[in-house]
Amino acid sequence: MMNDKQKTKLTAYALGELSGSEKENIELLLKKDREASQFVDEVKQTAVLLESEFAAEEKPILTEQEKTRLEQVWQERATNSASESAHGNSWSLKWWMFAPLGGLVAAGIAAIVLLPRQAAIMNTQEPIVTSQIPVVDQDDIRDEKKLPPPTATLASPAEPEEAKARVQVAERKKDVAAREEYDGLANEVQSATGAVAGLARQMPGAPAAAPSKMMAQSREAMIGYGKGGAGVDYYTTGEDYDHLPESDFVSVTDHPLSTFSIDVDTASYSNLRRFIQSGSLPPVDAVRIEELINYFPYAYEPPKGSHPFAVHTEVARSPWSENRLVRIALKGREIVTKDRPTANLVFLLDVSGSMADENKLPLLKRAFKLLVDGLNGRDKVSIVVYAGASGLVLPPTSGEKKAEILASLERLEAGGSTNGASGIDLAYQVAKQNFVKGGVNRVILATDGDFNVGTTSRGDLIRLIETKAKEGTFLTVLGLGMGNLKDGTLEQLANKGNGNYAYIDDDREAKKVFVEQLSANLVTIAKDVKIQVEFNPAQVAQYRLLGYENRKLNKEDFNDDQKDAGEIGTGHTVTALYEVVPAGQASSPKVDALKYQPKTAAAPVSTGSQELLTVKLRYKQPEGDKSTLLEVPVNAEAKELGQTDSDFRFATAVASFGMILRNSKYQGTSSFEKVLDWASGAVQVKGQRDTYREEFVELVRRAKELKGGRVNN
Amino acid sequence: MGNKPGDHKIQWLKETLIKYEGRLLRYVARLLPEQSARDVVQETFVKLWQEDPARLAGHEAPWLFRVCRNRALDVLKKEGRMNPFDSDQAKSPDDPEATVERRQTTSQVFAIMAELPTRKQEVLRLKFQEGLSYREISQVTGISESHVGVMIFEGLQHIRKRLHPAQPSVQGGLK
Repeated sequence: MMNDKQKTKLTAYALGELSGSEKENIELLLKKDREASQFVDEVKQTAVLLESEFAAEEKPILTEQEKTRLEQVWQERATNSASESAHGNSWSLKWWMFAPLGGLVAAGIAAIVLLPRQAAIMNTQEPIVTSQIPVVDQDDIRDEKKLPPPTATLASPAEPEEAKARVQVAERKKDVAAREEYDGLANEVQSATGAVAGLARQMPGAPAAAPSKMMAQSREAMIGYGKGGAGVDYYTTGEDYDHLPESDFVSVTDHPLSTFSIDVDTASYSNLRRFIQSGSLPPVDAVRIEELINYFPYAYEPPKGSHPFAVHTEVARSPWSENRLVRIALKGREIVTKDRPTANLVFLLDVSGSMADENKLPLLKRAFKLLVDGLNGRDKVSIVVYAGASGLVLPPTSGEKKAEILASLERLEAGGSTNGASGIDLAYQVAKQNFVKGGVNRVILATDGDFNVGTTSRGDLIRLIETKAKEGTFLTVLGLGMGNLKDGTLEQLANKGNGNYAYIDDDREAKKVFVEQLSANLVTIAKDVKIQVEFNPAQVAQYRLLGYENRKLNKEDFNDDQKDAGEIGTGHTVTALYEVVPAGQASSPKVDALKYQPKTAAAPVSTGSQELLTVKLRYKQPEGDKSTLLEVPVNAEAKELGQTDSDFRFATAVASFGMILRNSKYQGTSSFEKVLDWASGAVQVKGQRDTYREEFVELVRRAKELKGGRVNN
Repeated sequence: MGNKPGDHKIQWLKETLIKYEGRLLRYVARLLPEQSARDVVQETFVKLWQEDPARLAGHEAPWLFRVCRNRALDVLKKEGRMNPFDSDQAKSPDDPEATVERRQTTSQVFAIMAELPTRKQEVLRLKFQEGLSYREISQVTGISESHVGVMIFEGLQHIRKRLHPAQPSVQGGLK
């Protein structure tokens, strides 16, 4: 009787996947084993059936218009490249020229950003990360813009396609079970099919790496892509959210609570900047207001009390409407150099064959360099690898000896099969030997998802991770490559290990995770930070949150400690703006009065409270599971914009700019001129001119010119 | 001035487009709504411009599918939508949408296919619809080659069993 492993091999044979001695061996076997040859025949039959069924499926094609546009883009590029360069094949060099450059620049920055205490002290360092990413391929962005705008061309509804994307839970469980069984066989199968290590090399260099590189460069450019299509509706309709993608004003009587997760992303700003600097305005959907606002440094006061971050609120008159603006500003506790906990990091790296892909081990190496650059002499780094066998590649080494650490990284090569269990044992052992009391003790597992539990069952593995987490060594899991096979497993492992799970598919993401997020993790000061604002109906008729559209939470998520939300690292600032329509104010032209609401609801029992709203925050200590609640009442009294601090005015200017670029129907009287006015009067941070804010002012000028030119089109 | 440097390349791009547009659209449309899928395919061909035809020779299919797939997943990620391959929050098999889909498929084989996890369906399609090898599928999806083999075996096994439920098991043939 054949087992599944043998059947898998026979299937491969039947489908023509085997060659050489493997093939010959099976042919010999088939001659004498009737069961085997019958199985091979059945596989072939099923294969033929599937092929014919699939071949009959309809193939949509691009429209003539789409093709013409594509050709135009190609032609233009050919012309550009011919004039730019005497070398006929300069196009293929492009990817490569910038790959190392990106790494170098990033590495230069890593030291600063990794250790946020410096960032905090020097105050303006953090945004460098995004601002200095080399602007490599601006024609890419331009060209992408020339692609036809999304238009619904085919009548076929997208729903059935969507339905196909659903995975059935029951099947999934079976699949997991099957995989676990399979894990035991993986080693043999893999060695039998030959080292996959050569895989990446077999792809021509450029093509193999191009996808990941490409994603790095163009992701920002395509933020808006698809959003304009039907896609956006899938996750915003039919759910019990208090919001719409383009946040509208909502009535306080209907929705007294507004809930969202903090977000410290800044990608939208750097994207927008590239667009404008390269001479075009960004697509509407590429503009995310909260990411624009949070890109800039703000001089918020750090916390004084026991909470890990300070909450500041302020109310002012909206300069573009008759309404009020409410700013909620968070500032994470700053940790100075000498106070940063010493780190004891054990990298547990998967070097199995499948990791050879350009977007896996090579990417991982580049990423780790960023990390290592930020370590100091007190920190310790060790590297454990696992594949067919696991081993300690780098014994605990001081963070000062960067050359040594990097050299050992360089030597790593993918090959062999995965056997994670003993690797993780070893990693924990190393971590324990170097345990730093009160420090950051962390095993950082990086794998493409073929995390093979080997002889250990998944249950045992999880128990191990849980035990270690209780002892103080946490697990961070980094998934690499696209289409991660065991996302669920990895995430579970990280959760059990009090760690986090990040997914890296290109250099940009690596930079984010290794430089921004991972460093913030090393010194995370609060996690699952959620904000819930309760509006006082006696004071507020309607409100609108600017930005954070994809960070909104259901109101009940706020108190649900199971619901994840954003982390806040040391020194981080987070800013959110609400526009509120004061109660009793003659209904603004943008907001119709609610016809069916009983008037009494707008003036409830009225405690006579002068409070406009209450900001509630929930956060957990970095390693805690229970959230802490923080409440900050906000009084209704509103300042004039001119009386607010420069942070408030600057954030207001940025928000207004974002609304103009978005063609927001709520931009009111916003204009480039006004934005320039507000922003240029608020370029100082702590008494010093801030280069990022100055750059913003320039950007607005440029956008204004572009907009002016556009009118004539 | 005779041939411009780009002419040869554009010819190659056009040929590649005609050869693959349908296959790619069909593939990506399983991950994204129609219009987004069209965008992704067009972007992929814009990207193809960067590639050297000679170096890509023989590897066009995995390259194109991989770029499309990565882009599609990125669109999903950027939109905050569920990655179709992250099945943890997937709907149950009784999901009405899945049922509708099953009704719409005329073929029994497709109905059975729909019972499989998304990843497996994808791998089966790449193999039997697109004719990619295990290795190429691994390059496209990032799933290890050996696991691709396992998924194809399991997928075929499932389809065969469901098509011929009454058929005596293979072991019956043994003496």
